[in-house]
Amino acid sequence: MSDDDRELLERIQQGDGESFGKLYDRTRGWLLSLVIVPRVGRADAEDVLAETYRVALEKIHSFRWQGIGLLHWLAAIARRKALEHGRRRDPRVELLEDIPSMLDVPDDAPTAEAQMIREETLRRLRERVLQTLAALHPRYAEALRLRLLEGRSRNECAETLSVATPNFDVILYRATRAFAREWEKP
Amino acid sequence: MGETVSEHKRFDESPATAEELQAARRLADAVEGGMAVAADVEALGVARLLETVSKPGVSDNLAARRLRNELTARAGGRPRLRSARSIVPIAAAVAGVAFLSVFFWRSPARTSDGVLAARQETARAAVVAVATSWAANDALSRRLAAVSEQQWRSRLTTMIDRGRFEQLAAESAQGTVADRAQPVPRATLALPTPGGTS
Repeated sequence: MSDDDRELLERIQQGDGESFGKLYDRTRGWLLSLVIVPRVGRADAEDVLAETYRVALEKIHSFRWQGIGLLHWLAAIARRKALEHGRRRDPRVELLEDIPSMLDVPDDAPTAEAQMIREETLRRLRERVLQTLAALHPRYAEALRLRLLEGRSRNECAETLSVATPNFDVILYRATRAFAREWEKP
Repeated sequence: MGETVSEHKRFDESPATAEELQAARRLADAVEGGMAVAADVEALGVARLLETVSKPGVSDNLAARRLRNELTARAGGRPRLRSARSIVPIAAAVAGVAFLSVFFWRSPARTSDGVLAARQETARAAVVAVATSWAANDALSRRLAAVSEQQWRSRLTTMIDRGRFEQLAAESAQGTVADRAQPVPRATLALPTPGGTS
């Protein structure tokens, strides 16, 4: 909890809209990449993020400092919203929480220092992902890169790999299994 | 070690089993935003990991700007849409106040001195206005009746006079004017002579 964070909260509670915008700028990346996308994926991430901030906006006027910073408070809302979102799609969504989490939000306010830590965390993670991809068969690596890193459509990916779309689905599935085995290697 | 790497680098070209086809389809749906948990957890974990380290696209940036604008506007207290959950109690309160207002307005229990005096004054003014109006109408009616009667009499007299005039004119033309109108010939008149000798 920093003085800056506390001042930001006070200004928001006094009705300064731009201060809420600053809080959004500081925390959006955190919540998306470390809390929401790992749980709901990129396709639904923006919806869950918007719900998170709308709830936060309704409740921030009653927020009191109780040993946790705004980022942790927002992350708790985001986790709950991601869970609700998943339940609407499938009541067994709790299973997703079993995915090993190396992405937990650091116990700190969204300061500039915390932002650097986040970027460093993501940089290392990205580096390790690329190393793992490099260890896979090029077609698997290409399937994962096109569909998940670049976010291209299934049809576009299938066309690039010169296969039918259902076949691309199978390639992508086998690619994820191969990636998981390679990732778990010491 | 070399064998392990080459094993992971192997591209599986064997035909997919039915289970594998189903798992592949579920993973595809999950990445599209569908039934996430129906997918293989390990495969889904990898998908989420790669999506996490992916760079946001242009559409993400646009969505981010739109959301920021909306949030700053709402946080700044500008007019904003309230959620249905927060509107319901307000609407219920407004409806309740409106109902109670109507109820008390019609209720005889609402008889405070000020209100009663005001209502009495209004009623009195209304009665005076109506009475004045009746009086004015009565006078006007009487005047109209008098005028009408006078006109009718005048008109009747005119009609009688015209009738008599036409009758006299006709008799005069035929030489049969009524006696009273006919002049008596002077020779038939026994006029008294002077000195009393007739």
